[in-house]
Amino acid sequence: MRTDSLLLLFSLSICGILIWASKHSTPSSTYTAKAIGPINQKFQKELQEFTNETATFKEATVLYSNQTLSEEKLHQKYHQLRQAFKKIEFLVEYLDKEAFDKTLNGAPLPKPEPKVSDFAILQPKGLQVIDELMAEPSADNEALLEMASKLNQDTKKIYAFLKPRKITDRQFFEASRQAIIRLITLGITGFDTPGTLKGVTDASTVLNTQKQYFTFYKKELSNVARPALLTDIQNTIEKGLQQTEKATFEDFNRVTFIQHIGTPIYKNIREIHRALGYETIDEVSKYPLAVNYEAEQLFSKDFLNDFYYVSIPQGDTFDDLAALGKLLFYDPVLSNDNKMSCASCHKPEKAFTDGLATSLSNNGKPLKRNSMTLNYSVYASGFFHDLRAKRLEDQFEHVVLNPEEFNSEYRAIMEKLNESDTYRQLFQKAFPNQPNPIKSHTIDYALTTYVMKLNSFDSKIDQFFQGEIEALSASEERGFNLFAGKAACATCHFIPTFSGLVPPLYVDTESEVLGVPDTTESPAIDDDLGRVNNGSTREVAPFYAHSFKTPTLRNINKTGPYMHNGVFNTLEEVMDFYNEGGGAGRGAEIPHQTLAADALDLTEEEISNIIAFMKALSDTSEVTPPDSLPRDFSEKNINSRKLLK
Amino acid sequence: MKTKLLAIFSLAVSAIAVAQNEFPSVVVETDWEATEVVVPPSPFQYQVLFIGSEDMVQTGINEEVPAKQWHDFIGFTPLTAEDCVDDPNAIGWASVNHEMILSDDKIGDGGGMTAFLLGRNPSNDELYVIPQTLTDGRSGDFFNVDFSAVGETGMNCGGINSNIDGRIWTAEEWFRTNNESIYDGGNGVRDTTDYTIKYTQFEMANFQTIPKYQNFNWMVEIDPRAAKAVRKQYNWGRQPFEGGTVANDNQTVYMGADATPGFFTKFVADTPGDFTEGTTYVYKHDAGGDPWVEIDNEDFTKMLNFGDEAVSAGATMFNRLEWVTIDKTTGKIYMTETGRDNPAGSWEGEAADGAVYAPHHIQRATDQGVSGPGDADYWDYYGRVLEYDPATGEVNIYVEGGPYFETSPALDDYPNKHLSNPDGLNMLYVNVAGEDKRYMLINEDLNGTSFGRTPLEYPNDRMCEMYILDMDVENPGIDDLIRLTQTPRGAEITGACATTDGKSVLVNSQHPDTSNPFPYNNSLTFAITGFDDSGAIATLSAPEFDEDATGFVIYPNPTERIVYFNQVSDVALYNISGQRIAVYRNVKSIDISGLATGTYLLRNGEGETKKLLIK
Repeated sequence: MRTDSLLLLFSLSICGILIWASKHSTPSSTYTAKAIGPINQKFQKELQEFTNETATFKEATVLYSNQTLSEEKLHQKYHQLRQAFKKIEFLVEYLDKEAFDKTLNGAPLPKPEPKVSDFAILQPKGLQVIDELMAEPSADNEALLEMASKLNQDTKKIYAFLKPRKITDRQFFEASRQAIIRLITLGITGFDTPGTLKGVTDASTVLNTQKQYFTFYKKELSNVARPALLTDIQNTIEKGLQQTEKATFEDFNRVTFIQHIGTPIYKNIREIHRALGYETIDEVSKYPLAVNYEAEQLFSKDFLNDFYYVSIPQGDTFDDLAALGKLLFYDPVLSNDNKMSCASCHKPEKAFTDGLATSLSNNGKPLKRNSMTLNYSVYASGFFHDLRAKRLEDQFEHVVLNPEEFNSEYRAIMEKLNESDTYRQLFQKAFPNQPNPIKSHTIDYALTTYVMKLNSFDSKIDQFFQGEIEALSASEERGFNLFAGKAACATCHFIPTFSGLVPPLYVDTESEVLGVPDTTESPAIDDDLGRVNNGSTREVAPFYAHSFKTPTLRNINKTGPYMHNGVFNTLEEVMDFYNEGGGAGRGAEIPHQTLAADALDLTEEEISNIIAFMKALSDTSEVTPPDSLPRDFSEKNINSRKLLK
Repeated sequence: MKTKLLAIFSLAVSAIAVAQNEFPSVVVETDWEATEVVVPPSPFQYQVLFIGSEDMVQTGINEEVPAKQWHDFIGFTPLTAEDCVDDPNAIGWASVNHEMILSDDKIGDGGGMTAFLLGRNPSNDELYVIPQTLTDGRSGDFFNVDFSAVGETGMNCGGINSNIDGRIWTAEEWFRTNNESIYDGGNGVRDTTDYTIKYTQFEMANFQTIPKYQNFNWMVEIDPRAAKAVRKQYNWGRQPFEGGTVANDNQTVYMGADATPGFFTKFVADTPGDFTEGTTYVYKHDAGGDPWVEIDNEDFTKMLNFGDEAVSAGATMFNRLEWVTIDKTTGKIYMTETGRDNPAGSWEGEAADGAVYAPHHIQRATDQGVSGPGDADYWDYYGRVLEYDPATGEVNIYVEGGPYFETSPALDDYPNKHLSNPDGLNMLYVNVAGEDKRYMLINEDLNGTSFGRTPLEYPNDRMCEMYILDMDVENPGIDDLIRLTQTPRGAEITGACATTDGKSVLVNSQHPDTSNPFPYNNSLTFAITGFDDSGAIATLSAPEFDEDATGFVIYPNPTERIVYFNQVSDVALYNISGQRIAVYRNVKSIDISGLATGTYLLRNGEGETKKLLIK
């Protein structure tokens, strides 16, 4: 009894002191006492330093062109610039993604200017362009001078705009996690440094920066009795630095780094965020982002938010909708003559492709392009090889209306489906609030929902990074390291979808000009213009001629023949093509090839390692077609249609 | 035992007090001693009227197809005594533009318009679409405006809605220079044979044969009652027109062109109401005396190549002029200049050929420390609203866009207050409790997301908003803008057009993000009703707080469910079971419009709490 009273007294007094302390501290002193104050101060200081570095580098390019500065010294200045940049990169990218892409570190490719009434091209600028020039600075001195000057001007604008902004804890944690995504997908893969391949050197700066920032949380973490979270992240970063500081771009082990460094840090940041109880994005924004903040790591099954990519709400009837979609997917009733279904060209055992160079029309004639896999297809901002449909739901109408495919129209399909009690009931169940649920958009939604279910994220590679299996084979591991390193595959087939969905936001799908030949015999390209002809008036740019969507490589072992025209039968043929620098590397005249025309110099063994890795991207799950189709239509010939599997 | 429990409890309270976040994710007790603040329902009503791809438009007798998308301009033509409409509650016709180039056998290739008759239910002020049978025998709710007699139309963006009598012109902004681009691989205008202009009131144009693409980009008058095009205004020049307005004299028409450079154009009719004969001018601020330079509209070649004529005349260049409107009380003209991030390359050639930069661009360039508007480093991220005063002939900045945090708005008011890339512009005249009020309606259409044009929580999406501005405010700035509504994710909000009774504003949500739930994934026309309600508009803006008040004072604003605070605060919102559901940092107000009705707890960073009852 006595001890209880003492305990009470003690607790109450602690309570009182703390309440008193919190009442009397002014907001500004609270602000600096907490981590977020120094975080903002550090960022402001380093942003200023980066702005200064851009001026220094600009001067260095002038001196270099006057031949008063050696190339070696210029490289030193460039190194300083990159270091200053990598300290502020994550917060600038987070705070103003568009300005970051347009002026600081966007891909070195021209783009159509968005949202203007006339058609104009924006030329790339920023550090990636500079990096390409720095690979051989004497080659294009004028461009280097211009780019260095622009970088300095643009950085000043960004500094002026970001200076008055204050970031919150939530924003800091989100930006830090984005930094880790960027490091894994765009840093160590060489995407960021297409000319100098400084990706691994940069990684040390990125890790050191994170380490310094997280130190500010020391007090807050001990206040909540979780100091180990800080030591964990710092130890991991230390281990990471040991890997990045001694490795070169070629010999860096990316598998180990992602497994033991990148992934634990990514997870650890979330744990710190949770331990401190700061709000998360879902408490601030109504709109889900593509990257699910709650996911543990890049290879988690829930890393990307499926619902970001579609217009279908995440409701109670989602499973009913998917069941309906599955039935429709295999049902030839959708086509005019009741003979062709989605599964005609998308067979589940072939990862929803058809094994043909190009798919066959409803008359059995070869169509123009190769059937694309539907697994993981939801994670994209454009569909078809030419990116003509902008969301998965809009993809289906192109098949319905195509005279060589379903050769039908929605009205006819709606009328047919309405004849079947089974279908009427299934639609009603999926759309309980709609009086006439069989509509064009509900058919699209059902099919989309089924396709959304085709992402199992359980390939050997996934399982390895998820910790489900112990190891990859030596050849798979070497393959991954080449894929994300020397062979530069991961600079277009981005981790973890291994498609053209660009990190760290995963909201835009890229297309590339590779110079794919018409036949294996000659390097001449086919007459398919791809993206430039996709019907979007905003994409009629010369650099989109012969440009095709970068598809996922998941299940690549099941999806041959390869490329938009199915010209290559084997992965070896594909690898040889890339190894020689694509169409341009083989001597074809390709004005806007986005694939570097230089040979990759991969050995046969290296190629076989990459192929071994790609084979490990096959799902282990099986997808089974439905057992039967509804046969309660009034028309006899519909009831006698075949279930194509 | 009881004491022990209490001790443990107070330790738990201590733990909460030392936790680094002042807003624990779950609060133990929800029975707070807090003032209850009631948030009443919005005085405004929202209604969806017309959905692209879903509503059927009448294209012929017993022939209907789904409406086109990309809704842009809306015109409203009030019912007159001469109109024979059975429904006593009919108020007038709405005409909606479709800003696209798309082939359609029934609607016609190119862009298009849809017209429909609206009625207002006197018991609750709701709008509804009245079925009609037109003179050509078409019957239904929505009617495709037939442009076949004038050689079709394309990319119908803005337009002109006369204040005098509700006459409607549609503009074809998207300036084309060849047939391939309108043909668009067969998806656009499929008939690209040369077009011969015939049987128009314009003698200089009749029997001129021009490439098909040159028959686009004229202002086109339509008759919403018959859902038919009337004429292309070959006498106003061929330009990337976006908007225009008819002055009170019913003779003068002012027009803006959406391009860099964009020119400001005027037409003065010889006879009020007859716009087939008159004189066409382009604006040149430094002409000395009269700033309007005539471009001979009897010369069809000059009308075809209006831009070249304007450059030769040394006309004033703007950076994307969009909508034009008039304050009919003062006669002043207002227009949006949307802006373009780095316009240098788009107008330096014209400047070399004699056209002149608008003075405010020269001033801005000086302020930015660059050599001029033709400098590659000159930027114009946010755009602005301009004012033209016919009495002085001057164009001045009326409201400058931005956030320029040094000047406006205050960092704490951002993003609730900002103005980025204004596009749609219109006026609302409404009598509220016996007082005649004038408001400007300003719609955003973001060119981009950088430099604070959109909150950073939406990195890839575009949130476009509509603001209203009380015209009684002198020297208005961003701080005076009142945020009215926001369209679904990714959409451009445009078309804002008041019904003549001032009760409703019709608004289009254009090209929304296709991943919104149906129907918000389609372009659609909706109505906001209630502007005549006493106090409705006043409730949109921040209340005046008593500066002497201490503590956490909040004021519930019913309209868009915005709750205002007396001071800049960090606040967290908890549901009734004590779970934290939202946190807002460094704000003077919060928008709780997405929340279900019910009781919530609001706590600020100092631990002061309020109970919020949302009705």
